[in-house]
Amino acid sequence: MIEIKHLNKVFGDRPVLEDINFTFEKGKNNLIIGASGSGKTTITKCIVGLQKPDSGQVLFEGESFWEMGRKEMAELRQSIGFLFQGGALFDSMTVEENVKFALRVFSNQTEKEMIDRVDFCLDRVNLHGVKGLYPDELSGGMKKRVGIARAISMQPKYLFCDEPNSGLDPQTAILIDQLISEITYEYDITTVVITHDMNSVLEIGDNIMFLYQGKKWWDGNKEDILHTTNSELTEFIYASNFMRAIRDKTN
Amino acid sequence: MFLNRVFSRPEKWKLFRKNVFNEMVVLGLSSLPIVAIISVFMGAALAIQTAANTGGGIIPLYTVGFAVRESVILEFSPTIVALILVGKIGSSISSELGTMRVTEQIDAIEIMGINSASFLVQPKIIALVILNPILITFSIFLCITGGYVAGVGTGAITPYDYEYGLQYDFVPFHYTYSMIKSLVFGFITTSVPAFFGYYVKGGSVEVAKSSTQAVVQSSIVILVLNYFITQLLLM
Repeated sequence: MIEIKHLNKVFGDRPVLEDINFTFEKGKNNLIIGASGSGKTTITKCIVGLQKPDSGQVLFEGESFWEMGRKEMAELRQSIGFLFQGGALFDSMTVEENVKFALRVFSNQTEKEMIDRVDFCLDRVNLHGVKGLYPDELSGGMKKRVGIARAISMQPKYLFCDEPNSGLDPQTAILIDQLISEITYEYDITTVVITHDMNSVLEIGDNIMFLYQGKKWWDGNKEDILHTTNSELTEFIYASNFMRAIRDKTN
Repeated sequence: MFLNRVFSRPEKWKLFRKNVFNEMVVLGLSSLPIVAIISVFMGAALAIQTAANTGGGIIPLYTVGFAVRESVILEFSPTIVALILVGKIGSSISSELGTMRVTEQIDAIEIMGINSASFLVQPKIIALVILNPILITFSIFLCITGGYVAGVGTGAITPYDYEYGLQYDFVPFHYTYSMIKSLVFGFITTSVPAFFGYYVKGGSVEVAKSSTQAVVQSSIVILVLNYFITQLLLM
């Protein structure tokens, strides 16, 4: 479980996050949704320690991240898996080396054990026969899968996915959503997904926070969201013709 | 602050040694051809210029060998080769790290709990600091050989005079001075561009700018330090 309390972040004189309070629950797909520029990525960077909040707390199982020592912080980060929007795969390494990277640095496993783990992770994301390929030889969907395989290689307790569906066709996007969801339930981990894709919200949104202009505007789950009366959220949900058509048909 | 992060304890020594070795191959061995070409022609030109300016019989011919040796050991090999390496290695380090920064690969390393500055930069610095004195020694040897081939080949000097000049009034400390410079320049050639690449913000244009800036700044630092080291050690 991850809790954020009274989180604030300012860039220059522009507030990006204002007094955000939320709990990301264990064993659930926790979604942060909102329009571009609403602070989704900034909040995630503050949680994983890539940006320091100006005030407020980030608690991992009750332990305040920003009050930890360097060593404790590094240890905690070993239990975090992160899927970047662009994949952030190491382009000078093969798929196998990418997935093996954290294992090589932190584990004392033998080469064979590491290869077995790589095979397991790639198998888990349904990727076969790509171990020797480099990232630029992979499709967008494959890169995301390798990113997920790399993120789960160290058996993380927390999984962060930054817009996992961006740039993917609808079918592949659903497969990636399903994969993230399966991994969350299977390993009982705390998953945080940043997205503005309504398909993802309706597919896997167990616990949702809607950010609007740097503020938490609404929270709930995928059942609640379609019945919201919050005008900003409604505007966000029904921005596309497709969603409006569904609403009109339902009504 | 950056160097403090760079020189913190590596996560795993075995991996660190492997990375240092890889960087030695990438940064050092791949620079051998360019160092060799520059050194041979630099030595050749130096020998012919000195011979052309010492003609007339007043200055002895062995001065050519002496001048080539002294200028190569004291200045040409450590400093000129360092400037060439800044152009080759420095820009490559800066753009490599800059690209890793803008494509979030450095963030990916940080999130795994790895000190990215130490993991990525320290092996490069250690590798070049170890290899640079070897490269410079190699350059000195090739400069002198180039001078011999050009000087003797053109008939400007006899082999005996050149060899006599090479051995004349040799001060071993000058070689030590050259090696001290090569250690310092090896450090600058890697650390300054690494700093520019590591902290780049933006996209491909900024990566290119940081690479150019890294080469310019490193060259200036090398030339300024060259003056101070010379004054400190030779005066």
